[in-house]
Amino acid sequence: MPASESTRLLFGYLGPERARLTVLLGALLGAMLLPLAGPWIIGRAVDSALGGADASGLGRLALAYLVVALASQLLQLWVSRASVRMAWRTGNRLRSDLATHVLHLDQAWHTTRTPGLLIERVDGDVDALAAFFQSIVLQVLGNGLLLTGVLVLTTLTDWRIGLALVVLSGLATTVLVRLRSIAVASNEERREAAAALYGDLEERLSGLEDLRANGAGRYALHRLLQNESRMWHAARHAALRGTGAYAVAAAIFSLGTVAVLALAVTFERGGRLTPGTVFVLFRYAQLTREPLERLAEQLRDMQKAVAGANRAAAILATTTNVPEPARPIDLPAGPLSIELDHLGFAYPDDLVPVLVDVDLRVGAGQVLGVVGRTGSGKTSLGRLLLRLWDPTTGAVRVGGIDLRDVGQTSLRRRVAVVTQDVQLVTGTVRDNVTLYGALPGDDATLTGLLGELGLGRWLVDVGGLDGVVRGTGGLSAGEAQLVAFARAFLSDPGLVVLDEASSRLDPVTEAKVTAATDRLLVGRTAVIIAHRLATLDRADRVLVLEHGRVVEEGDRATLAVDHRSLWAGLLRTAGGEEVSA
Amino acid sequence: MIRRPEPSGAGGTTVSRAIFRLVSAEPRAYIIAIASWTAFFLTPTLVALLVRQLFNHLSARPAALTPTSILVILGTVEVGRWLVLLGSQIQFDGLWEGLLALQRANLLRSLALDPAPAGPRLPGAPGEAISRFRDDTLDINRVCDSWIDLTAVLISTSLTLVVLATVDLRLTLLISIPTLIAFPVCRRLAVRMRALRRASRESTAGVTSFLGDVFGAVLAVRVAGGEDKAVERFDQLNRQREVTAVADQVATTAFQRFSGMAGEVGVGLVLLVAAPRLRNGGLTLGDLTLFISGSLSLAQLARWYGRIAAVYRQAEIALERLGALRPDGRAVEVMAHTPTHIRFGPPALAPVERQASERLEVVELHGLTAVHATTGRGVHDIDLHLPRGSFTVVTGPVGSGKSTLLRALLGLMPLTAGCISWNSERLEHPGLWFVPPRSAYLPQVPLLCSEALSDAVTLGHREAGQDPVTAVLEAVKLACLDDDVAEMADGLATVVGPRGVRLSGGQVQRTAAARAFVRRPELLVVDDLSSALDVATERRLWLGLADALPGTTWLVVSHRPTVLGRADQVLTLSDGGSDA
Repeated sequence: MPASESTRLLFGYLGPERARLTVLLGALLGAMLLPLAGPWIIGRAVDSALGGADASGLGRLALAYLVVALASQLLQLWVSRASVRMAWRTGNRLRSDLATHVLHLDQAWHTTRTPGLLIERVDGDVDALAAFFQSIVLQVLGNGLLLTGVLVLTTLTDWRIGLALVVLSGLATTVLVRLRSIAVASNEERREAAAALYGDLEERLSGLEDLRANGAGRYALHRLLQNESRMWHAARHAALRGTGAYAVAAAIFSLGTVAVLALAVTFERGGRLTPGTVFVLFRYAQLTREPLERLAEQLRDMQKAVAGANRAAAILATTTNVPEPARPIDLPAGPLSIELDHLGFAYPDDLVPVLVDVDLRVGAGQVLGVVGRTGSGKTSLGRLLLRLWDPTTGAVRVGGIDLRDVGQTSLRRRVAVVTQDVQLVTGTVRDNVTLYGALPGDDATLTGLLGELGLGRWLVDVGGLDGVVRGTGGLSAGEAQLVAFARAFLSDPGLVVLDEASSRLDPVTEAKVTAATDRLLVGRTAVIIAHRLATLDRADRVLVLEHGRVVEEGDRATLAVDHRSLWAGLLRTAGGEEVSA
Repeated sequence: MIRRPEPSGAGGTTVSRAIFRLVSAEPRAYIIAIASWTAFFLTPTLVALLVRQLFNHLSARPAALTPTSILVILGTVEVGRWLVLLGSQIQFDGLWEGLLALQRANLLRSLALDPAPAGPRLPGAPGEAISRFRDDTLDINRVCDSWIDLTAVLISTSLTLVVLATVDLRLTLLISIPTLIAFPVCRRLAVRMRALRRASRESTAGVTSFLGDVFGAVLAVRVAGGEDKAVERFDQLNRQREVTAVADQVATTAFQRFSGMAGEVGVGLVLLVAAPRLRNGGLTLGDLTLFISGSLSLAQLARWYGRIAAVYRQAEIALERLGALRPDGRAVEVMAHTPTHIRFGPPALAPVERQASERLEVVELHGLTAVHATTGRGVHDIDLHLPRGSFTVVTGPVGSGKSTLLRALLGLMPLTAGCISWNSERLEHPGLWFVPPRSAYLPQVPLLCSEALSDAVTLGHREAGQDPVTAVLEAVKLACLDDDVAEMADGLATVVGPRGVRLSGGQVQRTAAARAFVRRPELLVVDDLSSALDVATERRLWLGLADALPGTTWLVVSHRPTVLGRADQVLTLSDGGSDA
């Protein structure tokens, strides 16, 4: 997306602040031009003192100086506060839109982006933008005004010196701008070194147990020290380039001040300027330095902000691969039938299709068991039933309706999934089970449900529905699964996809999960995806997948007794794997 | 569980001691930094003195040098100032990284190589742990930085005051007054600012951790149709943050403005008192300009004071948190003088040597009890006898403590009671002992880091007299991963892990298996493999192992009949105790 478009998009967020922005800029004008009166007042005081003026006159000038100086500081404070608040208000609007947009994007988009990266995009980039906005107002605009004011006043006082100052300021600014790109590049190097260091460190810390018991502690330390060395070099390099650029510009500018002073002194000698005026010009020359410095700093921040703005605009412009239909239809109530109509699917970047010509019907209320080796496509099948992806060829129909025509809200409510790895959030138990209130259920329902699933004791231990869950929340892998079941129950779906739900459980807890599964499946259609055959005892129909193709499909009982069937063959091989409950 | 530390007088001393320990690791660099920044801060005074001479010329007063020479010297000083800045900055930035590196290396060393298990010391999520390494070390470094600044500012201000006093003592005292008044006010403001800063940080942490959760659980959120509810919660958190952040930022600006105002008051005083004396020649124009610039720079001092106090407070909290990562809780040890090899990088890792005394004859557990601090669950009073070459299986329902038993044996969690012995000798620090080549561990949920597959397998492990490449290839074959590697474009050099190629659950498990096998340990501790591997693959894996790793003693968690079938002994756990 071109820079101008993204800037326009984001400036749109400032729209609601137009009125306040105008007032702010007006106040800024005052805040920045007042300080210019200060040196002039001092100059007058010097000249009148040297000329023999009386104390009261000087006293009045001193007072005037104080009033002007203090008023300027207070105005600057007010402007600062107003711009900070404006930046936060606007920033939060943008954050909200980014978060909404991101959450509605499809799974394809999400699998390639880690949570850490998304935090950077939704919050970090907006931080940079908001900070830049604040600084634009006070630092860039404000200092720009100050600088312009100084140059104008200087030229009015003595046009030759004014000209000299303009030329020198222009030169220093050009140097600053030109050398800025060098500074930015070396900062990139530093940021990359930091990203490598923290990225590697975070991963090592996540797997710390592995590390210790496999004696790789010293390896982790070794990697850290390597990264640290890289950081050291990058930091010094960045300092040389960055500060070097600044130092050159500042040196040019400083010499400029000396030149102004030299000129002023010469003119004073020639009688064209009073000593007071020399002082004023000197102060004005000094006053240009800080604005230039601030502007230079802002140029650095601007780079970050522009990059952030582009990324934010790009996100807002991204559309999902799984769009909401124009006229959404709701799925019917009750158990839902499934129809896979010559279904074919390949992941966007893959050439090898994951599912090829899968064609089958499952009646409402029936249970379909899907088996196959890892990579047979069974997990993808489940994902397609949830419409996390759209098929490449063919169609997925649930309750007789193509999923691409079903409204998002209805789909989410009527189709549920119980996955193997249960995603918990840091928050209350209620947050975790209802997913921040997305799933309906009052406290009594929740408590009852958790108790029935076998999590009653845990609920008490953790402190009830308001108890805080952190990390795994003290839940073992089996218990975490039960939370997933709770979510499914609250959703009250017509179709349930159980994705390798019982793989990590042992016999006793599996019984709990089995009981939960039994209850969940009553009056609902289910698709059970597993590689443990015992889980599929309750299936009405079975589907055997191999490399994405249907190799066998039919009624389970029939296939089990047909000793020529693959299913029967699988049962025999796995027969030794049946564990007594 | 992060305790909120209570403000205590002793806190400041601890910080100072820790900082002193830290900077004394790089004494020369630190002193150079102080000297160069002092020189940099002194240049304005030098410039002011030269300008004074110049203005004296203007008002026909005696001056030591001609205007031309003054201007020349002035130009040189001004240019020199920036050269000094450049040098100082380069040196300082290097020093900064060096001090951070020292802290981080010590922290990691303590977590990864100390005898005590790391688990209880690490805060909840790895994201929080990283915050220790990144943010808390920075907070400590800021104190080092402020020490340099403070010293430089103090020296340069003292010299400036001395110079001013030699010109006019009373005027010097006069312009000091606004700054002196500013001090206690700044101090009070600084206290307020700290509280606001803390509140702001907390609300920011709340926002980012919420986002981390939601994006980490994005599948669950989307499947439940919870996007809008999540955004609602996000908006609410953002509004809270807005309030605290605005208060914090405004307070900071107010603080700066206040010290600015103090400077202006000083200038006003100078005008009021000194300007009249220009008439009768009691004071020169040059002196006036000197005192005006002096007043403005003195006012900066008050700002520094507030800054330093705030930095100290933050460092206090950081030190507590860093100390919590150590088993002895001594934060000052995070500043221990260990080599960082910062300039040229660390030397290559030494290969592992096998000692004859490390040959496993028997491992025994006597009454081993290990309980999780948070859940109160674990294993109680376990006795186990593992002779050389034996195959022991641990089984039982979930929550019965199988994984806990393994972790306790390996020293990954502390023992509440009982002991572990190796060849009939009691082990003081199982965590230090049960490492390769004595033992290796295959956890239930292995994690891979973003690195080449071969590195993920070796993790720096190298045996004397062994070709590393062959060793990896053998281990990969044993782990039934060779076919998968053959299908990868870059083979063993393929970068895996979070920032690399995504491996399936089974492939990750087998990589971890290769990792354990390449270490050819005496004792191989394996947690449940069945979670990520299907029946056929798991069977293939077990088939190859018995022959390829002779003499290995096995301790395996499983409930697969094939595994139970080949066991010499089976330990069944239920609710933390063994079923006899």
